[in-house]
Amino acid sequence: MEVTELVVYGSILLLAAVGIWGILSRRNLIKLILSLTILETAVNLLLVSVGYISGRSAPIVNGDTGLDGSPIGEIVDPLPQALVLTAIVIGLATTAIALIVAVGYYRSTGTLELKSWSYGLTNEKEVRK
Amino acid sequence: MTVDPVLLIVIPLVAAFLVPMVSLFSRKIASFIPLLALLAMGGLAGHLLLSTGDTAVTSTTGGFDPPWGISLVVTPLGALVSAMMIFVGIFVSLPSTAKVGKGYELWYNVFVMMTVTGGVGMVITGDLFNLFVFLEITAIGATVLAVLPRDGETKGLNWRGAASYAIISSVASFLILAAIALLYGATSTLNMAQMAQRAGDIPSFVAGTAFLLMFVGFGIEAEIFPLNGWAPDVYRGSRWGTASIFSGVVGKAGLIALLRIAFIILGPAIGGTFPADLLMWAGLATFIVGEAAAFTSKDLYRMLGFSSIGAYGLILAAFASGSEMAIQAGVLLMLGHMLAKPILFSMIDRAGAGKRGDVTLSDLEGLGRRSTMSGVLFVGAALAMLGMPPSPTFWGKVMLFSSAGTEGQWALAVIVAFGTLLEAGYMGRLIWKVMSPAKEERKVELPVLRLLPGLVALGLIMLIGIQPALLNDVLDRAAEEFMDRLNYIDWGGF
Amino acid sequence: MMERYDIHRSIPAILLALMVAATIFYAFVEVGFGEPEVDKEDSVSNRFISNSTQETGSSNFVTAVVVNYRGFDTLGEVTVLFLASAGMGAIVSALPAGDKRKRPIPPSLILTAGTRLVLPLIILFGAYVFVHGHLSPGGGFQGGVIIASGLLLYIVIFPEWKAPHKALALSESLAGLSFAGIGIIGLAVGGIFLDNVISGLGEAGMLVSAGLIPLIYIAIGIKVGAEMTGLVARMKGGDA
Repeated sequence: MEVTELVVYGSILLLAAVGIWGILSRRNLIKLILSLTILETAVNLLLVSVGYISGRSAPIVNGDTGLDGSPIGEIVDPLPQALVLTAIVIGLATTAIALIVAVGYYRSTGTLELKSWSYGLTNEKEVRK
Repeated sequence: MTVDPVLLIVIPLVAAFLVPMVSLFSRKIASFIPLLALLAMGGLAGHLLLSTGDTAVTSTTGGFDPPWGISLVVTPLGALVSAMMIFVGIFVSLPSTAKVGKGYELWYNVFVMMTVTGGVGMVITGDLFNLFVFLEITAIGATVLAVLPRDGETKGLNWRGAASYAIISSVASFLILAAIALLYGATSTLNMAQMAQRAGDIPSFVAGTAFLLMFVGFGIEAEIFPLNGWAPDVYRGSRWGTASIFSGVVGKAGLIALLRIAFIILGPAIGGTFPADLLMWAGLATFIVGEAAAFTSKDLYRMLGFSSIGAYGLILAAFASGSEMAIQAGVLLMLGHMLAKPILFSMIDRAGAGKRGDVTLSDLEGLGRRSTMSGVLFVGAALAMLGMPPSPTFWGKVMLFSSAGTEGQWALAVIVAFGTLLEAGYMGRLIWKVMSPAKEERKVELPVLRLLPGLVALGLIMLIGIQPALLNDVLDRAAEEFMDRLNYIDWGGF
Repeated sequence: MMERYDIHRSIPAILLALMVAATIFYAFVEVGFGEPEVDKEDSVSNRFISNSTQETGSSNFVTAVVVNYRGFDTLGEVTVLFLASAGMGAIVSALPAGDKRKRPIPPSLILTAGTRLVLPLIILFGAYVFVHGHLSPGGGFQGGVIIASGLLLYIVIFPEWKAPHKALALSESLAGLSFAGIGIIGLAVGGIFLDNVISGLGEAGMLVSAGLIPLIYIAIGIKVGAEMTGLVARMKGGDA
């Protein structure tokens, strides 16, 4: 197995597991949003790796050759890169909205703990005020 | 000549971009933009519904044919559901147009319009990634709607509901995105019709994983048990319009998307009856849990929210139970729910106007005496929800029972009958309270902008109830769309 | 407050998370990493790789896909960002009152002078990135974010600065309308929304090439820059 493969496979597995675990077991809104962005990173990495082809260069041409002088046609799949660009922007928008909602939740309830979240899988003791 | 369906998306986008600019000059004028855009969309959707006929109306964007460019595939069912969603949007935004109070009042209608646009886009797009983009438009619009508070104090419940929904809908969209990545990897296309054509190329493990991810993702949006923990909080803390949008647009779009992907792409790729069985049993469980929870709820918003969850379950079960007649029943049930639910939410808002905290059964007492038309609308909509003739829900339930009889699905028939009894229990209580004499003589105001859409909705309910044959074509095409994927592949141009 | 972690109570969550992650992971292995999918005869990307420079005039294939082939997605994406920015404005005006914030420590001369020096350069670089989106890596989104990062620096260093929300809203509106307007021109001229009607203009690899792509990316760059600045300024609070 190549190093690239190992790194990509390992990162996807690790990031997805950490993100999902965080979402399942935390009820603090900020930690939930952090877990979300970790999961998002895992999914974006998955999406962009679907289009990777071993040994090929970036999908840009410079005149008659690729950026590194390789012949045209020897490039990776540009479509997933375009998709991931969209997905990143969308992820940013949802994170921004989630954060401002967290601010409102904190100001109206005085806590960041989202009650009744996490279906009893949490290991955080409920904090009573 | 058919008008290009892409306008269904472009009109509201232009309208939304116009609002900040126009509001710098006059907030009053800006507040009319969303309503005008929704009316234009409504006309367009009606036109598309009439011109779909035997096939689908398609449109390409970017100047490249599908699968390279993104195409829209407006199937007859898609046109019908879009028109209904836009109707819900108009219903909700009519009374709040021209109100420019606090900073967010102007934006309320914009977000109603954009949430409806997202829902319409999810139903008419022919491209899987484009579906994800529209899902996000819907989700962000719905989150903002869930935040904007009612006039009465709700003890910060709006924030709680919005926070839960913001987190869980993001989880849903990332899971769906992961599924899309896997499906693109397996088929090297994103066009749904072409993907359906290549369903055989998808390795069964990939198809199964993608199906489960999609089920969880869209199941969250469509409030399917056990993924609907967020929904009661949202309904309880939100405005009547937001509640109507959640029950009429957000979940319906998720439901249609889930069904289309499951029946047209992933079901054939997985093979066997597993996908349909999972969907049917999930639907039945949702129906029973929703109706039972509604039966025991005190807050009326929450009760009707649970009743919506039950309706989602019933519709999902009908579509997934597999016969042509059951699918047609599912469409009718969906129609009945989308027409009747906004009326109920609107009337509850009238009954609890100016009240702080939860709106309970006692607030409904004597609504019919305090305002005759409110009582008529409420009772009419409640009976239609329950399936009293003449209503689409009546025909839907009759067809569902007869399909269950023909197919020998006795468990389905028994569960649906039991759930309907529960439904009759709490709806009966509501109707009883509305008709009972009023203790207090406080008048209930019913502005004409509330009355009018309510009467139109009730009229449509009765029209379809008396003359269901009007929809025969659309129902037949809807059954074709889900029974045989070759139809969708053909409509999508492959 | 101290949070206590009991390891045995986190086992179900960890197991579930590992199971989901492993399933996605195994499905990805099944799909295959680094394999030449695009060489398959029937792959959608085949056309992007072999024809996009001729068809769109763009040297950057990702740009060709983002703005031209899948421009409709990008319009949706811009809308999502618009909704986030407008939604944030609406939510901020619905926020319950918060605590009074302390006065920040005034920044030193080096920071203020340095910021004044680099801010124009950052904005110029951002504009460079989105104008050259069809030639080099980057594009409207990246350029817009670079501009917003410059203004973020400004907001951090000068906390008293009030973001000009009206001007931001106006540029957001105009940029969004020009993107949609370019699409509608395509619909009016060629009958297809977002059709790149002048794709043949100019020579591939030059600044003036790729037809409408640079125009769309300039609109996106301005829009994203304005929206991200608005988001950051609203997050700072105090000037809803």
